[in-house]
This record gives sequence, C-alpha cells and structure tokens, in this order.
Amino acid sequence: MKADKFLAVLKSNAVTIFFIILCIFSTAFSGQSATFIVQELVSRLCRNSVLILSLLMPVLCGMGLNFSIVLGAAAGQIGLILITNWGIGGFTGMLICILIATIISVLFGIFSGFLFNKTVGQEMITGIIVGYFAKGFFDLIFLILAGTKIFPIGNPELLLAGGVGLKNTIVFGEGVRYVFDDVFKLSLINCLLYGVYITLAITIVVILIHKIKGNKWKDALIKSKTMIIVFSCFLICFLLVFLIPSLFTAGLRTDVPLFTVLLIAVVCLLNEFLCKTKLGQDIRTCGLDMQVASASGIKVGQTRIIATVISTIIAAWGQIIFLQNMGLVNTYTSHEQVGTYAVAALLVGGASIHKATIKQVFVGAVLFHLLFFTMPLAGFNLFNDSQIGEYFRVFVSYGVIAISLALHAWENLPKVKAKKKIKSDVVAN
Amino acid sequence: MKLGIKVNVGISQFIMGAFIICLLILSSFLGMNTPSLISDSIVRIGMQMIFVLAMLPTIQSGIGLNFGLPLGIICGLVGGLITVEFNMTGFSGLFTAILIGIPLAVVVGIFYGWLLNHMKGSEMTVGNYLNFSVVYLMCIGWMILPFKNGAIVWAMGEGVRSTITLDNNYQQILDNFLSFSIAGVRIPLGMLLFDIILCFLVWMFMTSKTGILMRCSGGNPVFGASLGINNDRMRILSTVISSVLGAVGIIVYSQSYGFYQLYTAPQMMAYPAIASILIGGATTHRATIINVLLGAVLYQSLLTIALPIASEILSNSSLSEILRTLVSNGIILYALTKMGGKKI
Repeated sequence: MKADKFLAVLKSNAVTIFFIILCIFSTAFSGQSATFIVQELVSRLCRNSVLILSLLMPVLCGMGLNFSIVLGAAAGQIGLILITNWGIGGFTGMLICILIATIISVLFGIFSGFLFNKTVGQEMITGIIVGYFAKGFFDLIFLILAGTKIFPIGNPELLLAGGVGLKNTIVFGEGVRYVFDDVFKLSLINCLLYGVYITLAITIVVILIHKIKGNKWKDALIKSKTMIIVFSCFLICFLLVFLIPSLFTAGLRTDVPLFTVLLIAVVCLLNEFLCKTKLGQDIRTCGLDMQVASASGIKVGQTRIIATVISTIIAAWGQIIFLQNMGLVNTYTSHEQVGTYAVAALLVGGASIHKATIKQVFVGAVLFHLLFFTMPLAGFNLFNDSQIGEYFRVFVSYGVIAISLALHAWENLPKVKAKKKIKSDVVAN
Repeated sequence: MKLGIKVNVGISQFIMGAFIICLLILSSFLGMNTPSLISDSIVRIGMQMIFVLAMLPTIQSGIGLNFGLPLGIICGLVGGLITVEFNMTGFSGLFTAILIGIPLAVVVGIFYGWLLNHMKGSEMTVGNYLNFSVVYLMCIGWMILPFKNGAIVWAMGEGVRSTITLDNNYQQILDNFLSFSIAGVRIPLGMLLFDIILCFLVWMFMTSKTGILMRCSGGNPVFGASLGINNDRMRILSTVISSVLGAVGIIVYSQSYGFYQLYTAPQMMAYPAIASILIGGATTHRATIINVLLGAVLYQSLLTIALPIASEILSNSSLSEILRTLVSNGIILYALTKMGGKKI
C-alpha cells in the first residue's frame, strides 16, 4: 500500500523530479563554485518570479497557460523606453513608468482577452500567435514609426543613425538601472537568519491566536500548519547554509535585493487577496465549469477578460523588475521569449494547465533557472562545446512545455472517457 | 461534393486576387521590373506549394493545422544531407534524397500521430512546442552526426555547416527542367509539374475510399466511430502523409533555393504554409485541394509582389519582414477566431 502511494506521488510529480535530477547533474558538471551558483540563482529568482506569477490567474480561470504575457512584457518595455527618452529616473520615474505600463497593458489585456473569448478551448495556441503578431506590431512601431512625427523620440541617443527606429540595445540611465535592487541589500545569510526570527514570531502568534480562540493545543498546531512549514523551510535553509562551509561563504557574499523581494511578496499577496474576493470566486467558478458559471449569473466573457488583464498587468510589472535588474533592454527581442520561459518554469514546478500554485511558481523558478545557466557550462565541460549546452537548454525549455502538456492530457484521458460514458449512459436512460 | 472538391472560395479571395493584379500594374508604373517580380513569385509558389499541401491531410482528419510540419522537414533534410555526403548529383541525387526522406518521415509521422492521439483538443499547442523542441534537439544532432564530406562539415570545429550549398549536386535541377520564358517571365515548369503531380496524388487519395473515410472521421468523430472507422488510425495516417509531404517539400524547396538550411531554420517553416492554406479559404477543420492551390498562389504572390513595392514606396528595407510577420500571423489569428467551438 505504501509503495503504491509512493509511486502515485512519483507519478504526479514526474516532471519536477526529472528536473531535480537534471539540475543536480548539470550543477555538478558545471564546475562552478557554490558562491557563483547561489549568486546567479538569487538574482535570477528575483528577476523572473513576478513574470511567472503573472500566469496564475488565467490558469485559475480555466484558460490554460497565458502565452500572451508577451504583450504585457512589451508594455513594460514601452514604459521604460519612454521614461528613458524623457530622461526621468528614480522613484518618480519608475512610478510614471509603472503607470504607463499598466494603462497600456490593460488595453493589451482586453485585446487578448477578447480574442480568447472567441477561441474558447484553443487559448494557448491563440496566445502564442498573438505573441508573434504583437512582435510584428512592435517592430512596426519601434523600427518604422519611432523618431517620425507619429511617435516622436526626443533623445537622439536612442535612435539609429538614420534618425528613424530605435537602437537594438537601449541602456538605461543611472536612475533606472538597479533602482529597485539598490534600495536595500542584505547578505543571504542575514536574510535567512531574519527570516527564521520573523517566521518564528509569526508562527507563535498564529498558534496563540488559535489557542485564544478556544482550540486545544493540538488543534491550534494543526491549524497553523502552513506557517510551521514555512518556518521549518527557513530553519533548514539557514542551518544548511550555516553548517556547510562552501555555502557559508556563498551566503556571506550573496546580496539579496530586499526591496525587490518585497515587491515579489506584494504581488504574491495581491494574487492571494484577489482569489479571496468575489471576483476571485467568479474566476474560479469559470475555471471549473463555464456553463455552471453562466447559469449562476456570472458574466463569463467579462470575467475571462478581467483575468487576462490582471495577468497582463502583472507581466508588465514583472518585465520592469526584470529589465531594471538587467540595466538594458534589447528593444526587439527582450519580450519575445518571456512567455515561453515563464510557462516552462511554471510547468517544471509541477503545475498543469488546470492547476497552478504560488509554491509551484517558486519551485519551478529555482529549478528552471538553475538549469538555465548551468547547462551551457556543463555542456562545455562535457563536450568541450558550449553550443551543445545552449541548444540543449532551449530544447529543454520547449520540450518541457510539450512533454508536460502531453503528460497532463494523458492523465486526463481516462477521466474524459469516463465522463463521456456517464453522459451517454444518462442519455440512453 | 462532386469529385471531392467543394469550392469554399469566398469573395475575399477574389478581392485579394484583384489587389495583386492592381499591385502588378502599380509596380510597372513605379518603374520596377514587373516580369521579374512575376517570375520570383512563381518560383516561390512552386517552392512552398508542397508545404501548403501538407496541411491538407491533418485538417481533413480533424487534427487541425499541422504546426509540427518541421518534424517532416527534418527527415527530408537528413535524406538530403546523405545524398550530399555521397556526392550524388542530378536527378538520381534528388530522388535518392526523397527516397531516404520518405521512410524516415513515415516513422516520425506514426510517432507524432500516436502522440497527438493522446492529447485531443490541444494538438496545435503541443504540435507547436514539439516542433520547437525537436528542432533544437536536431541542432545537437547536426553537431554530432558523423558526416565526413568537406562540403557538409565545417572546415574548423565540429558539426555540419549551417547552410550547405547544392552547387555541385542538384541546384535548381527541377526548376531548370522544361523551363521556358514568355515575355521575360521565366516559368520553372519542372518544379510546377512536380507540385501538380503531388497535388493530384493527394487529391486521388482524398477521393479514394480511405480518403473519404478520413474526412468523415475528421468531420464528426462520433459518427465516424459509429460507421466502424478507427478514428485514431485515420489521424495517424494523416500525420504520416503530412510528414512525408514535408520531407519531399523541403527537398524541392532547397533544390530551388540552392541551399540546405539546417539548425534553427526549420523552426518557423510551418507558419507561412499555415497562413497560405488559410488565405486560400480553408478553415481549421475544412480544406480542399482548391484552397491549397489558391492559397499558395495568393499568399506567395502577395508577399513577393507587395513587399518590394511597399519597401520601394516607403524606402525601408526592414519593412517587408515586419509586414510578413503581421500578415501571416494575422491570418492565423483570424482563422482561429472563426474556429467555432464553445461559445460564451
């Protein structure tokens, strides 16, 4: 019986377990120091989390993985390019940038949500094509129209030599580069230590609240299970970093941009909060069964558009966080792969097109991005050719999407058949 | 339904045709070389026709647009490289390439169809990403496959070159076969004949008993099953035919182009073909051979004639690539919204 259960767990987490093994191998063969790996991982995690978080809402709404977050990412880029053009930076600049990006991404979200409503059941392929279409559209604006009277760009440094079209790479000014990251930095080991303290305090408070409400000690402990798990995660991480010497040096040398982490936490909380509101319940109902939802008076089409808009807005913020950390933008290519990488990361975390959680976002982000930067190095060490590792990682990121979609379709096939059989039996009776 | 050809050609196709003719007249006023524009578009029609044709079986069997076409294309490329490796020239080289490509494509097609049968409903998404991942897997493959011929491998380093010239093998052999010129317009009759023969073969198949059963099972799987048709087998058959056409298509494409393009080149090759058949009046679940012919002619001539004119007027060379992206993806999006399915 226990073996059965073990196998079931193994089967339902097949993708994640496969990637954990792959990560261990490629990290081992990459031949890099723990410091390098931890530093890269922390910075990539801070950079990419919000983009992956943006995928959650459409999954909840039953629209599958929203590949059209490319549009949101492009909106974020437009905001950044505009404030660079106007030469404003700092927090005022970023606020203006976020405002512009939000407005644009609301429009884009309505556009793609409208298309998704026309293509129910095929939202994912529609999202992919919308992404490609949008690429053509942005190229048109930035390459042909930018610098002309229709879309004036005052700053000649941003333009190509001919005066029309933006440069391939735009480097941000001092006020934009690392503007969130540099607010407050703390070494990883201190972060973990404070994390342990804070979660311990919260856990005790939560347990006490449950106790005061009149539960027994045992029930109070069970009810605050989540907090205890979070606390033990922090504790284990801290002990690992503290006790293993190579990780200890890495922990000392790695700086965590706390403000960015705070922003990520805010987006997580926002997502959780939205799920608890009336809107969130409507979205969830649409995801479970559209007919039931419309029968119970929910405007299904409108709800789906709202879910897409939320996703697009969060993607725009995600791209802003991503780019301020990079310090520059590849005008024509930065947004192109955002959808694919975010989706692949989420799927690696064990999500499916029907269910995705915040936990899966972070597990996926760690595994996918660990693989992402160690793979070319490992490829170089194994085959003496970094190109092979490069190809392999692109293969993996596309392949994981195909394979995990296939796996989930496979798992659902018996259910669908059973459902159909019940329906036909009902009809026959 | 006479002869299996149902003409679902609408007014939009006529408008498009008229637009292209207007463009041709405009081009001569702009002082461009109109006959060469026409020749270019005829060559491009011939090159792309077989890819467009490859969309037909999967649409008819109910799978929808075959985003996995590059799987077949890669098989054709392997066949082609083997002939270059052994320095084969002329028609024997061309047909050997096709003969090697076909069995590979059959195997790949069976596997692909079997996989798609397990994910009914999201074939297009999975097909798209399967295609991308296999293209990159083959990138590794190109680097480690044991080719020896100096025309294929890099002079320095490992792996196959990214473009392999067919100068000494069978460059434009089909194009030049029976080709002639009228009023400055060169017509590569050999390639066009080859395309037409393939179209005819596919049309023959579609009007045969198996073809009609396939269309029946694709149009209504429940009805098909009640007739005793094995729906899954029909779908596998359609992916096999589609992959084989992809393999043959890339060889014909490359002999006209003069190069085999490897590595990431096949990744996006399905999109123009998809846009073509859709512009020819097909939908994601209904298509005929007329849509294929018309679509290939309209899409390719639209791009090869309209884009140089647009660049000429706006004097911007990067415009054509952008317009191509917008046009082809816009068409696919439009077709997806017309797909029907669940309504809200």
